Amino acid sequence: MARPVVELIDICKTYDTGATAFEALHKVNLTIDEGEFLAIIGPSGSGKSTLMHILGCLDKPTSGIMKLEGRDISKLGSNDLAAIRNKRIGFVFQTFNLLPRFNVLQNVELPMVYGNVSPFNRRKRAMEILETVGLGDRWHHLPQELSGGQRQRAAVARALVMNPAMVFADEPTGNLDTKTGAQIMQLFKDLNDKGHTIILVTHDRDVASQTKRQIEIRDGRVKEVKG
Amino acid sequence: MSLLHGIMVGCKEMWAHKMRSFLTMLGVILGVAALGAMFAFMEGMIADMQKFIRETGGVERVTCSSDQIPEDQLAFSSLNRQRRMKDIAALKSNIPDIDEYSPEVSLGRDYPVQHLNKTVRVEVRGVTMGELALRNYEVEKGRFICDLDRVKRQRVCVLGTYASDELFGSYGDPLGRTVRIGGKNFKVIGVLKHYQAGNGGFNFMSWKNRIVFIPLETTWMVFTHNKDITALDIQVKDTAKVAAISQLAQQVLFHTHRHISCLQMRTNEEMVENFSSRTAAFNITLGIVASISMLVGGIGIMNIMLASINERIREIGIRKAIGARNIDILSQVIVEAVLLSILGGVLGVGVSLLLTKFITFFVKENLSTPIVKPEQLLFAFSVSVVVGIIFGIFPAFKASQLDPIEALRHE
Repeated sequence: MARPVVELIDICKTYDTGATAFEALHKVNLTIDEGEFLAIIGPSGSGKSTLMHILGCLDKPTSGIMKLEGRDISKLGSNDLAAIRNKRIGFVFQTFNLLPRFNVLQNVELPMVYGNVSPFNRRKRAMEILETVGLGDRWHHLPQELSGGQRQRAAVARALVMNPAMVFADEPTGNLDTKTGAQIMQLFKDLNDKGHTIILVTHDRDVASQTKRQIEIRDGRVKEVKG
Repeated sequence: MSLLHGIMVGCKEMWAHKMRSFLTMLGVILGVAALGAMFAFMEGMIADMQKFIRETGGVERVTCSSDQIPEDQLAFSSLNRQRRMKDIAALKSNIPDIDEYSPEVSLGRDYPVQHLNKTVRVEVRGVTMGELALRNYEVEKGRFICDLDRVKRQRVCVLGTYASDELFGSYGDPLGRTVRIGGKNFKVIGVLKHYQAGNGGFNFMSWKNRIVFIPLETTWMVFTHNKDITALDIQVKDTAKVAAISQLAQQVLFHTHRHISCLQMRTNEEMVENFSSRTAAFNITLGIVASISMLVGGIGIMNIMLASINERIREIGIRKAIGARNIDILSQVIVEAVLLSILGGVLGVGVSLLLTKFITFFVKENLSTPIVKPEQLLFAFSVSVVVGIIFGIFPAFKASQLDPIEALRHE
């Protein structure tokens, strides 16, 4: 029986837009276990992003309890959440979001800069992880010198470098051609096979169908599709 | 977050916007340069002024000079007598705290002194031993006028370097030679030290070299044929008593001059005060100019940091997403602002040194040699660093408060 990485209990998120309050998430209950490969699907405006932001500790729920590795984190302050994002959560974005003035190695080292890892260990660990994603020989390139697929691999390396409890991939193939997108999906599958918990956020059902479990979110409510 | 990382990011940003960074720094550069150059010139002026005061006898000296006789005393002003040795006697017997007296007779500022076919025009002054201490002269060669010279009305003289160089420059040692002062033969018994101060070819101590001393009593007998003295200076070694004794002396002289207020005692203290108040005014003016340019420089830094974080909202979002705390973002922006100001400060110190040299090179006359003190440059530099911190705080705070989700969405 796998350990749950994250548990959401009656999570609500309400945005106060002046006259009317908009309920983005309504009593969401969700448990994600260690080693899962999960896709969150849903059209834009469904609350998909909100759910990801809350799961990714970028945002706080209005009500409800969120447990990360058994610890209630729904009441934590921004500094504690920053530390959790740093150590337990990795992000991969649609637009890669690498820092343009840093080379691949420095980009991958960045989470460790905030994690107070010593420069020697930073470099060692970053090179290790770059080998894993197949960019070992590209560490000295700037992001703009790389192809889209390579950039996304660098971003995956950055997400994994702190050995997080889970990795969020927000439309990771959205800016890539079909072939490169498939390669990135294969990379995620490989990582999942190695035991990483991966949560894919997408509106593309073809992409979502490659995962082991899918949940759909519509009008702030979560529905299990497959799993 | 490591400081090293912040510095690296700051350097990359500066390098990526070289022109912008330089223009931003310009305000700080000018501020620091103005401050540094101002310090150097003020320090030079103060040093020269102190030297001047010291060379004219220091603050221990009290000068007794003639004053306008008040109108209500004009009718009987003929009762007044010149200053004579009896004034000295009165001062001596009444005020024991006076350490040194210097009665003088001046024959004028350009009295002819000859040797063979050469003539110089210098001040010829009949003096006593007291002159050395009071006017701060030193004998370089030979000896000074002594009491025996006065008693015997010796025709001897002590030359300042101006007269000795002009008259004996090519004839060797002037000691033992004879010069003609106002047509009378005087034997040279001593030569004074050479006094030099100022910048380049300009020597503002040259007045001190243009002098020839002869015994006071000899002057009376040979030249003036009376026993008047034209100047009477006293020295009080205990500087705390100078003001009080100067007043006492004035009262004593009031008596000896039949209650006619023809004399005015003046202390060098007043000169010092006058000087320091002028220095203060000068300092304040230049200080304001320097602070304004620092302020402008600081606002420039703030402006550019605001522009910079505006361009890098997304970057801040990324950093926050991967675990940067607010304080990490805050300190990074401050580090970048301080980097700008430090670089500006370093360049400013360099420019201030150049500026000092440049001004000294082109303005030779009437200018004190600037004195560059490292601690003052360090001060000017630290001001720039403080400016960087102060004006970095607002942009840094703004950056640190950005919402990571909003920031990540920013295009």
